[in-house]
Amino acid sequence: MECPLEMGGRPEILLEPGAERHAAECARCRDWLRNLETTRQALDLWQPEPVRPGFDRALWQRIEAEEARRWWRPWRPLAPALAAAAVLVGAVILSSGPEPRPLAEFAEIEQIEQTLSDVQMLRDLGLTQPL
Amino acid sequence: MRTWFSLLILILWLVAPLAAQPRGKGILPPREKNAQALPPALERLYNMSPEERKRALDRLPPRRRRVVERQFQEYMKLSPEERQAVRERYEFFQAMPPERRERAREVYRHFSALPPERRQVIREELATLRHLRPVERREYLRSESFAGKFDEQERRMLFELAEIFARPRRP
Repeated sequence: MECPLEMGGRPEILLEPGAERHAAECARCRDWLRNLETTRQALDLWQPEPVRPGFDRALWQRIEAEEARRWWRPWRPLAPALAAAAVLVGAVILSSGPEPRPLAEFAEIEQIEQTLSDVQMLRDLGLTQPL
Repeated sequence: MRTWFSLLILILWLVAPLAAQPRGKGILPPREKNAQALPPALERLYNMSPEERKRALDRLPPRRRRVVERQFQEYMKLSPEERQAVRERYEFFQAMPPERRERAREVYRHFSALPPERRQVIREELATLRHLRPVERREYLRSESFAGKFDEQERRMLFELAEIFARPRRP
């Protein structure tokens, strides 16, 4: 058997049945297998941290929040056009002024009419001459 | 970046004419120095754009509308001094209690129904009466010379107008 490490091949071949004969003769492959065994033992000793209560719920909330934040992304190419439309609508609203208020306007023209009538009375009675 | 800049230019080009839209132009003369001599309600009418003024006047029946237009145009033809005098007299009238103002309007309706020559006589007599002290005025109104010039309705009219519009006196 040729040395899989020297040939630049796959070292996992060393884990296949029959490879131990080559490993007994090849120091390099023995080292590789020893290192692998050390890593396995270290992994066996590792204890993962217990999952916090509510971890799943918090995770899903974060995922949903992130999804909600990205709702506008499909519209992003249209943003300049939408901004321009918003400015135009605003300009038209501002230039057209407030909606007419029929009752208020009628009251106003009646007040103007009364003022003119009173002024006419004062003039007709000769009361606007300097005292 | 270039797209945004182009859009900004386009928006400014579209919005600029709206912002520069003229207001207040119409049948009336351009704004004068003495425009402040108008009573507030007339100043509002004066400051309206032609469209606003038309919309406001359209709310009146045609006959009343014509009267308003005629009276306003007559008022605007007055000299600045006359307009100032009218405004001062109007403010004095406005300061009266509402029932007194209403009484003045009612008496004026009777006055308006008189023939022009009688109105002129009453106008002159009212000018005299307003300058008398209250005691002198009552004495004069009871005099035979006064009774000989006016009928019952005219005497009552003059009495009321002189009371309502008596010249204010310093205490």
